[in-house]
Amino acid sequence: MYGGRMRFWNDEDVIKPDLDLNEHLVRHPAATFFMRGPGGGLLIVDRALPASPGRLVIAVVDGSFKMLRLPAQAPPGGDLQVWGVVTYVIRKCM
Amino acid sequence: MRAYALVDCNNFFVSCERVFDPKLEDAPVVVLSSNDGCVVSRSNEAKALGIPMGAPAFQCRDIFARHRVRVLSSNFSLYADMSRRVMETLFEFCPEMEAYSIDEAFLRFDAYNMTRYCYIIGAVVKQRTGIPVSIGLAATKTLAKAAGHVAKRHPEFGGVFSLADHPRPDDVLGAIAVGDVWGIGRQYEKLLLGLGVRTALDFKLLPDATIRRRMGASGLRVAWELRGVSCDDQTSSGSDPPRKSVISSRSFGRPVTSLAELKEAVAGHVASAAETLRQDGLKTSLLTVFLGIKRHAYGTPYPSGLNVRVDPPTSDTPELIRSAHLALAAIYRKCLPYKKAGVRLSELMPESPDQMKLFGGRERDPKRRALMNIVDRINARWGRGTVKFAAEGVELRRSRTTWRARADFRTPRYTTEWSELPLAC
Repeated sequence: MYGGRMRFWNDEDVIKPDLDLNEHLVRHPAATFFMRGPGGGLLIVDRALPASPGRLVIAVVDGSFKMLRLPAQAPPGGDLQVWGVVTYVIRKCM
Repeated sequence: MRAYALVDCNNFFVSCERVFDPKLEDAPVVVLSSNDGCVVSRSNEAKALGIPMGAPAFQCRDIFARHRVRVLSSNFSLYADMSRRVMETLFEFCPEMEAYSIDEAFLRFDAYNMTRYCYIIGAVVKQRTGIPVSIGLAATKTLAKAAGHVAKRHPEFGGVFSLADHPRPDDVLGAIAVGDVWGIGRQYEKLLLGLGVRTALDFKLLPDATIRRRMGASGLRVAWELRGVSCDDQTSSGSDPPRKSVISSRSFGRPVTSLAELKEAVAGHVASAAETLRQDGLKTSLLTVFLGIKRHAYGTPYPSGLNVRVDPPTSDTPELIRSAHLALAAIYRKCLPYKKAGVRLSELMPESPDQMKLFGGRERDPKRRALMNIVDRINARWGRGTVKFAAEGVELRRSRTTWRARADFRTPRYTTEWSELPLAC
């Protein structure tokens, strides 16, 4: 709601708006989705990022979503169908 | 050298559902219109079973059961959000883009040989949003639409079809039924078939004089576009830039607290804004209702405005009033002294040439448009507000709950409700 900048008489003194969590956590808005993780955490999933080995991803296994870490080497059983890359896990502490 | 690409999502509603429920892949799936009336989206497997577009759901009960068709209710929150994502992704590729409907957009290029680029666009949209698209590339919008049909019906082309890459474009036009041409609706189709004009090619080859006499300037525009001459957007010879939005709002003389009064005010604003839309030959796909309270009175901010996706896009006042009232009910808080109410109609697009949309089997479209026409003409002659809609000025005793539509098989709103997020285990 207060998206503008407050100005003083000296134009160089500009107060930036509050830190925006959305801007910080979401790199590709059109390709970013939220999910509930197995431990109850909130997952930020980015479909625009490549599924490189070692990354935490959401994969489709038997028609459902499964969160897992991609192994360093490709598994022998053939290619895994990756839905997106998990970029953040947000846990509630209260 | 200008080229247009028409990007069209495949079986859009079904595709949206499939992104969040992979079990729906490779299965016959249909999505029903609001109120679970008619089939408005079918997967290719459902099409193969012979289920027609627009078929009333109760008539298909047998086929659904026999072939274990997955039947889903419309999940508009999801579709609107997925549409936004597709459009945003397309915009990144081509700022000269124009969302034409919830699942189609035109991209405009000023270069040769965009075929390979279009393949990339299709792949990226699929990767980022999960939605598969078909792309038609040609010199004009009408031709791009035709090319899009070909791309969609011939998956062997990999989702992209460029008319320019084809050795004999006229052969392609010869294989397209005249009724499938963008800009030729049911009435004109009947007329043309009567004249022996069966295909897009036949129509393209008709003499101008014949077209002008039977179909007027708009028919001529379609023909020229088929011939490769772009008649893009009649922004009346560069006078006014196309409208981006229409706003109607007003501050109240005294603070208003009752929902009934707010509904009347909002209805009035909708009527006024929609009239302007119709004057400019436009329709809207996004409606925003906003309320204002006295400043500094109540500390914590509360939602004072709400956007509503309008699908299909329309300039029909009663329909818009209905959507506006829904939004109003969502943001209204009892006992707050409202000082202002308003409505904004945005994401405007031109009223397309005579086409019948099969949404919910609403065949009354031409009649409704004629009604709006008459209302507008009376108001223009005798003064604004001579003919009003009941919602605008009648004391409402009780809000109707009959507007709540049926949606027995709606999936979760995966991307717009925190409580309905998809689960990963």
